[in-house]
Amino acid sequence: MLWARSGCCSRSCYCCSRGGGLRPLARPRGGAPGPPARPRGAAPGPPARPRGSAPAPPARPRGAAPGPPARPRGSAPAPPARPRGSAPAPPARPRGAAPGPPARPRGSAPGPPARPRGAAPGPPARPRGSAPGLPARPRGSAPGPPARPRGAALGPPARPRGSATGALSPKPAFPSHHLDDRVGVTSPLDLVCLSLFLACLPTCICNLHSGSCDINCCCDTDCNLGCDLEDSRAAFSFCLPGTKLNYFQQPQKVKKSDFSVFLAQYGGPSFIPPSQDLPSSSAFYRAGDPIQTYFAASSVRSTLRQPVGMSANGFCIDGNPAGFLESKSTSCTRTFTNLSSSCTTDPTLDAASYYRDFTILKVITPVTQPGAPQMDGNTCHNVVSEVIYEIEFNGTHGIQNVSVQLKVTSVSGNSLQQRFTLQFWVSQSRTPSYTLPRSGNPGYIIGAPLLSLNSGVTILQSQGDGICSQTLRYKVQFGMNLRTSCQLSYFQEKLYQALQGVSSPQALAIIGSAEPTQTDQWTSIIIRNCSMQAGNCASCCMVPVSLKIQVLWAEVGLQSNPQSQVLGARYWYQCQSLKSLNMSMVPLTTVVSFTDMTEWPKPPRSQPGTYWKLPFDFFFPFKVASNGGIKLTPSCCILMSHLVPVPHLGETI
Amino acid sequence: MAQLELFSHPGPGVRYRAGLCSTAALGLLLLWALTYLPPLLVAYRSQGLWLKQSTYMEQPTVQFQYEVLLVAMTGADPGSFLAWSTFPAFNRLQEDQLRVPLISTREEDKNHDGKMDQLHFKLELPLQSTEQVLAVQLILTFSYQLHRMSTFVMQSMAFIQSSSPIPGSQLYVNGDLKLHQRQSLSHCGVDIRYNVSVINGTSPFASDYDLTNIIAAYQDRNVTTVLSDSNPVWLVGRAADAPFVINATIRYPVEVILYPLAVV
Repeated sequence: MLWARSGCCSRSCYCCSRGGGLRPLARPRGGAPGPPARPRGAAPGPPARPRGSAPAPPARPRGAAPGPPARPRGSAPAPPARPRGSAPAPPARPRGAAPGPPARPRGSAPGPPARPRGAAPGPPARPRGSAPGLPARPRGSAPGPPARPRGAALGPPARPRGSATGALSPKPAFPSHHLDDRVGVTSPLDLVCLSLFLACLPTCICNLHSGSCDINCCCDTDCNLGCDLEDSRAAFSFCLPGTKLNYFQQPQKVKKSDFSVFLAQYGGPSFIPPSQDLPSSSAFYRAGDPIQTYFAASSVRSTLRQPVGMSANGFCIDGNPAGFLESKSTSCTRTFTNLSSSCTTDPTLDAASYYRDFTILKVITPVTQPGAPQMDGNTCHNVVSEVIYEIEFNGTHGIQNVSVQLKVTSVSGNSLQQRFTLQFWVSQSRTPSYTLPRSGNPGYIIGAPLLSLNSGVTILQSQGDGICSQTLRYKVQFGMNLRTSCQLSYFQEKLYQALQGVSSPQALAIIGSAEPTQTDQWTSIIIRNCSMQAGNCASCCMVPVSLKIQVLWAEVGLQSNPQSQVLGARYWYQCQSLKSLNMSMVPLTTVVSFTDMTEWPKPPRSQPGTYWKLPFDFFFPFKVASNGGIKLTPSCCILMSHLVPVPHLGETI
Repeated sequence: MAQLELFSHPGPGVRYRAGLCSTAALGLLLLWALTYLPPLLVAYRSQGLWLKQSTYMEQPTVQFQYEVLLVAMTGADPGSFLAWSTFPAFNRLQEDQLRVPLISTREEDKNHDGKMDQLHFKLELPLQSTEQVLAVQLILTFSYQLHRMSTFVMQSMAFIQSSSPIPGSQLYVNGDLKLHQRQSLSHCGVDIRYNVSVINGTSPFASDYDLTNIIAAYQDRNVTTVLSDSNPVWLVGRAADAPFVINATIRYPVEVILYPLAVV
C-alpha cells in the first residue's frame, strides 16, 4: 500500500530523507518530520515512521525491533537497533506486513493463515524476516528450529533457503539481551552478510566519492549542509537513483557437495563445453564407429582416414575418420605449390600410403599395386586419384577382410581432385558374378542411375575446351532432366556412337531392382534415327546433331508407398543435312527429359468433390473445427461466416 | 393532425402519442440521431469504415520454363567471359565465348497437391585448367500462375548473381521465388498482361540478350517475381579439371496476394 506522502518538503529538505538511513535523526523520506507524516507502507498508527529512517537514535540495521509504535518498512522507532524486517508490535504496518493474524507479511509465519516466505513459528503474523517475540531477526531468518524455507509449511526443521539465524545488522547495534534471545546465531551466512554489511543496508548507491558531494546524487550526505540551507543540491538538475529499499532473497549456502547441484539448477549455456563421454572401447564395431588401424612398425593406433572436402574451399581434410558401415564416397581437392617436390614427397599422392604399413584388423590387400609417383618433366605420374576401400564385415565379429582399389593418374597442373570411397559388404554375401547395383527396390529412387540392359544410360560430356570427352560420359539419373552439348568432328557412324555410347542401350529397366534374366522387367527402347527422317531429300547425307532421350514414368502401387517405374523410353535423333553444316565440327546436343504420367487416385467419397459452386472457403469454419485446429469461439464463427464469403461473391455471381 | 406513437406497452397497455411538431417528437428524432450518427462518425474517423483492399493466400502454379541464360566472368578483362543460353540466337552471337554447360534439373511436388514446390537446378560449366570463374550471372525463367481469385498468368524470372575476388568452384543458392506486387491484382477475370517472355528468344539482336535491357524491361512490370536468397554461398578451391558448379534450390512458397475488394 502506498500512502500519500503528505507534507512533502522542498528539495532542500530532500536531503534529510534519502539515504539518511545510517544517520541518526534522519527524517522520513519525502516526509515531514512531524507526526502526521505517513511513510510509505506504514500504517496510520500513531507515530508515523518514515521509510528507511528512524527518528530515534542511532543506526537501524535492517531487521526489526519490537518497539510498539508503527513501523515503517525496515525501520523501527525504538531505540534498539532494528534489523531489517520488522517487529511485531501491534500497530506497526511495515511493508507488506500486518500485525494481526490475517496479515501476510513477506517472511513467514507459522500460523495457519499467514504463510509468508521465510518462516517463523511465532503465533502472530510476522513481518518479513521477523520472528515473534525475538527482537532482532535478520531477514529471511527464523530463530527457532522449525524454520521454513520460503513458502514452505511448518514441518521438520528444514534448512530454509537463504535463511540464517544470524543478524544482518552490525552486532554493536543490538542490545545484548537480543543477542541472547536468539537461537543459532552463528552461521557463515551471517558472516557473509556482515562482511557485506553495507550492501545489505539501504545505502546511497550513487555516492561514489566519499567525502565529497557527487553530482546529482541527492542522497549523498556530503551534499547536505543542513536541512534548511540551500545546499549544493539545489543546483542539481535531477536526482540519480539512490537508495531502493527492496532486498533480494538471501542466496543459498553453497557447499562442496551442493556445487554441481546448484550449477545444474541455475546454470545455462556457457563457454564451458559439456562433458563428453569418451567413446568406450567396445568389444566390436558398431555402425558409425571410427575404424581402427594399427601401424605395426611404430606401434601406433590410429583410425582409418577418409579425406573429405570441407565447404569454403573444398580442400582435403585428411583427419576425417571413416565410419564403420558407412558406405559413402567423398572427394576433395589438393593443390601443390611445387609439383616436382610434392610429387615424390607428398604421401597423399602415393598409393602406398593408402594400404602399406598399417593394418585394419586384417591385412589390406590392394587389387593392383601402383608404383610410387614419379616426376617426368612437368608431369607427375602415378598420382592417386581415387581410393576405394572394400570392407567385408561379419556382424559383431568385425572386419573380416579389406581390399583397396587404387586409381592413378598423371598431374601437370597445380591441383588435383581425389576421391575416396568406402564400401561395406557382409562376408560371403557378395556374388562376384552379378554386381549390378540396384537403383531402388522395387521402384526407382529419384537420382539413382537409370539402368539399361548392358550398361547404364550415359550421355556425352564436354571437356573444358568444349570438345566432347572421349572417355568421360555422364550417367543419366532417374528423374533428372538434363541438357548438355559438345562439339565433335563428324563421321556419321561415329556421331551415332558418340551420342549413344559405345554400347547402345537396347532396353531400360522398368524398376530399380530389375534382374537381367527377367525379361518382363525390361522395356525396349524405341529408337528413331535419321533414316526415318530423310523425307524428300533421299540423296542428302543426314547426320545426327542431337539426341533426345525421353522417358515416361509413373508412380504405381500404394499411395502411401509409391514406387516409380519406367513405362517407356525413346531415343530420338534429330538430324541435319551435312550441307547445312558449314563447320568442321558438329555441335552435338543431348537432352534427357523425364515425364511423369502418374494418375493420382480420386479422393475417397467422404470428402466433398470440387464441383460445388460455392465460395472456395465456404466450409472453412467447419473444416477448422473438425480438424481440431483453431478453436473458434461462437462469436468468431458468426463473424467469419458473415465476413469471409462477402469478397468472393463477385467470383460466383 | 398526424400523430406519432412514442411508446407503447406490449399487450393491452397504454400508448403514448404526440404530435409531429411536439417536443416529444423532436426528442425522439434527437435520440435516433444520437443512436446512429456517433457510431458512424467514430467508425469513419478510425479510417476503417470502408474496407478497400484485402489479401488472400495461394500457392502459385509455377513451372520452370527450361530457359537459361548464363554469363560467367573468367577474368578482369572485358573479353574474358563465358556465356551460354538455351536460345540459339544468343549462342550464335557468342562465338568463342560459348561454353555449353551440363544442366540437370528436377521439379518436385513434395505434398502431391499437383503444384510444384521446388526446383533443383544444377549447372556444371566445364572449364579448362587455366580458366577460373570470378562472377556468374544466371537467369532462369518460370511460368507463374494464380487461379484463386483472378486468373493471373505471367512469365517471370529468377536472377542469380554472385561474384568474388577469389576464383570459385561452386555457387550454392537456396531461396524462395517470391511474388513482388507493385499493384494489387484484380479480384476476378483473366490477367495476361505479363504473359510475355522475359527474354525474347526469337530475336537475333544482341540488345535483346543484354542483361541490363532484360532486367530493365522486367522491372517495368508491376508484378514480378524475385529470388530471395540473401545468403548465396561462394565456394572456392576448384581442382584443375573440375567444372564450375551452380547448385540452386528454388522454392515456390505460398504467397499473400493483395487484391481490391469489389462492390457487388
